[in-house]
Amino acid sequence: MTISRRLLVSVAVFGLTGTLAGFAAAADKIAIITPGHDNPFFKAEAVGAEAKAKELGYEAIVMVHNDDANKQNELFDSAIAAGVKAIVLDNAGADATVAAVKKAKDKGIPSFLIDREITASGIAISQIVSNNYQGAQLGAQEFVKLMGEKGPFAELVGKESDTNAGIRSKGYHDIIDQYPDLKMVAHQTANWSQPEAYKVMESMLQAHPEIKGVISGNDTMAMGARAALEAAGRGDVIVVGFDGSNDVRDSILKNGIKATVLQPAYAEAQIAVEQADKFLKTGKTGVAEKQLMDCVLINAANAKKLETFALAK
Amino acid sequence: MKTIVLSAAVLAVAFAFTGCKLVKTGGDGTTAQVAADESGDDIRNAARIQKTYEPQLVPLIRSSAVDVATLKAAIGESLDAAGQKYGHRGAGEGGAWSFAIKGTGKVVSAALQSRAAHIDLDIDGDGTADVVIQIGPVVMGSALRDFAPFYSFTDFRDQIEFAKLGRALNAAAVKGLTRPTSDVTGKTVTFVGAVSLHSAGETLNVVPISIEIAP
Amino acid sequence: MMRVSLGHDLSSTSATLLILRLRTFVALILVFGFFAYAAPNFLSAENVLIVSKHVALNAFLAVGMTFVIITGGIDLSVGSIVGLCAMVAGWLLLYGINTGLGWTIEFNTIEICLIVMVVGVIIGWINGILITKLNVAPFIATLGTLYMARGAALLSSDGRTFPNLNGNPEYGSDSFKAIGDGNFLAIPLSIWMLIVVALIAAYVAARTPLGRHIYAVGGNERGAALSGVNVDRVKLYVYMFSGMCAALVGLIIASQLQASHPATGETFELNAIAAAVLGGTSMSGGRGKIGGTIIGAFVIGILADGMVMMGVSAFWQTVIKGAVIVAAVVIDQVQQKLQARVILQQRV
Repeated sequence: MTISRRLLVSVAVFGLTGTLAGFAAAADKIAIITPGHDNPFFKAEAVGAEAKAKELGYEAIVMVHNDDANKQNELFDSAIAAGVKAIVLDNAGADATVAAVKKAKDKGIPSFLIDREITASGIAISQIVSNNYQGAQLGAQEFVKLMGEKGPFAELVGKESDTNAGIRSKGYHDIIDQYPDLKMVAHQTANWSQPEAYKVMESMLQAHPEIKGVISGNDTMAMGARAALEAAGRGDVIVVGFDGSNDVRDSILKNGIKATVLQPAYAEAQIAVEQADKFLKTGKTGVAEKQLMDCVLINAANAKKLETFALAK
Repeated sequence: MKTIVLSAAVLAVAFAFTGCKLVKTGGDGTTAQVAADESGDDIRNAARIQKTYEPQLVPLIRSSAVDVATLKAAIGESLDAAGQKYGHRGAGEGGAWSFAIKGTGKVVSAALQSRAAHIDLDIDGDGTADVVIQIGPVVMGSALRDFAPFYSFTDFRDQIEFAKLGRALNAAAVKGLTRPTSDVTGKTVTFVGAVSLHSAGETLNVVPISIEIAP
Repeated sequence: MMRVSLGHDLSSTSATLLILRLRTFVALILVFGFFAYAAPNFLSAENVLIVSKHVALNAFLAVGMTFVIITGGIDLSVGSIVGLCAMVAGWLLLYGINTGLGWTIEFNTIEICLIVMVVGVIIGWINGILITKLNVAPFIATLGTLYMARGAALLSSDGRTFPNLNGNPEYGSDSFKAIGDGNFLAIPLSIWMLIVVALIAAYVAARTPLGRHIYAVGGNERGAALSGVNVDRVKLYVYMFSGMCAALVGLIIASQLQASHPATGETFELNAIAAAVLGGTSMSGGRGKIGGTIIGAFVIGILADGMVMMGVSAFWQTVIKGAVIVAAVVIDQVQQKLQARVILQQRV
């Protein structure tokens, strides 16, 4: 008896999720695939794309690959099987994504990439790329200015296997390394993570108490570093982040973190869906495949206008 | 038992290898061609600059350079309209408008000690700086790259390679400049270069391809 | 009167027991039926193959894991072995082995597969040695190799991805992409490979002395040792087999993506354990079946793919997956109790 009741309950649970998700409607479907929504940046992308898709009359299937190229590959399979008309993707690796996008193309499903590019041209219809390199240079220029072109500093790098970690670090160094008086005394990965950045920052302060500035590969690590600095009574250390999250905006307004760089995630995702719509209706997007979206420097001057990865006019 | 399994495995592997082993001289063919990955970026970009900088880009900027006053007036009305008339947008909608620009003005201030050295010029004679001429060695922005219609982002491996081209072009431009050695404040400077603008109110940060300092 | 009522009671209990014993299968049918009804296009032949292909990756690991768990151990390193083996495959395809004497050895597809599998087996062997000869607890030993293998994978490419693993026809490695993409009789090669591995594993488990020894070691290690089972060797074998299964997964993923990424396979070990447990393998050892594990892997895989196709939020997907695993273990406990009661009743 208990068993059949259990079965009933589980059937009911499944039925509930079914109705929650909504059954197949007649509308054309667009798959929106991003890394995990636990990062507000990717959440903003997914929300932006989904809103635009609904506005244009599509049904959106939102999926997450958590930066796992294999999972992404499986999601492409499922999206193709589910009969989507187009795929909007923030990919899980410049090289590791090529095969999946090509597979979709071979099945006649166009892909529209946002945020990050892949290393092959001609297989995706659009690649709307955040200009991380330009953004990093912006951040580094501001950092150099704040530091007065000199002094010891530390760098926190993102997850080493992530292309963007490398791109941003290169962008920073392209600028900073041209100032011989700026000395990098520590250089560590904190895997994009706030708690890890906190720990790494604490150790760095032990080894190099002379640190005057910290440049971080993203905002969550900047937040972690800032917390460690404040806990150690070193609120004077200059911290610069990257992403333009609301948390860092608030910190900038309270004169904590000094600057960050905004990637227009929300706008980018919406443009991708618009281009997908245009492509589905007319067979072309009218723009080049690879498009760069420039990043914007956020500091005390404009931080007030920042909200969920979009800058108010 | 163990030894049997082990020797069987070793035998199987050895058999497979003798069947199809291919030994090849190391480095043959791979050094001759440029690596397709990141390590080949600089070589590819050097080739691009060799082919395009002097023969195409410099003449293009000289022939399409707009006077500072004309450009400022046009931007004052509408950046987008000015961009469509005189400029070129690098890659995509989010990018800045880039313009070729020329002019003559009086140096109001100069920061020659900074690594990002610059000369600030007053063009219209009101005593305040109208344009900032970056003379390097650190040069910001990618105006030279983005003004040229023949560099398309789609042809590049990734944004790093594309950005490296921007830097290499800046370096090529700055290398050819006659750098002032002593204070130049008050002197007259004539320049030709490129500038990128995201919004109408921005400072004109020029990447020069030539400057002439009148005595 | 008494006898009749007792008999009736017994038969209804044993009917329940039968359902319980087949619970993974029942769950499979339920899950499959539900998504066939609720998720659009789920039932298309194409999608069934796709789902099977996805399940195969986890199933390989789960089969290896099942043996390990039956011996009372655990292998946390499989996900990292997947990653390291994918990187080794990528390295061999792109660069071969440079002997440092001006010669580079290039390999064909079969050789690459063999080398990669040897790498997986060697890591499994290290696990086994740590556990048997050095007396490290399996959880700790394989946790250590988890980190070491992942670190080695990251070091191999400095964190970058090995791109364009199309192979080179000159070396006979252009067939590499067939491992993940190729079909035989319209069924993907990876599924055929799984069928072969699973059949061999099931045969070994059920019909060979080694199989009996594996169960004996897990059921009562000291007893097994006293009755002449070479416990250390049995353990060494199961970890080596688990490593080899992981190597196969690394090969398949590198081939499917035509790229190898050092983070490949992160948390795969947890899915493998989940499939084994869902299939009725007891974490305390001595009990488990390959067939059950395969079905368990299918339940998890169908659940994952089906929810994706229905557009269920990723956060809910995680919750539901966890709930299914917990439910499976709870039902397992109920079954154990019932079974003990039936045995008692039969004795009376």
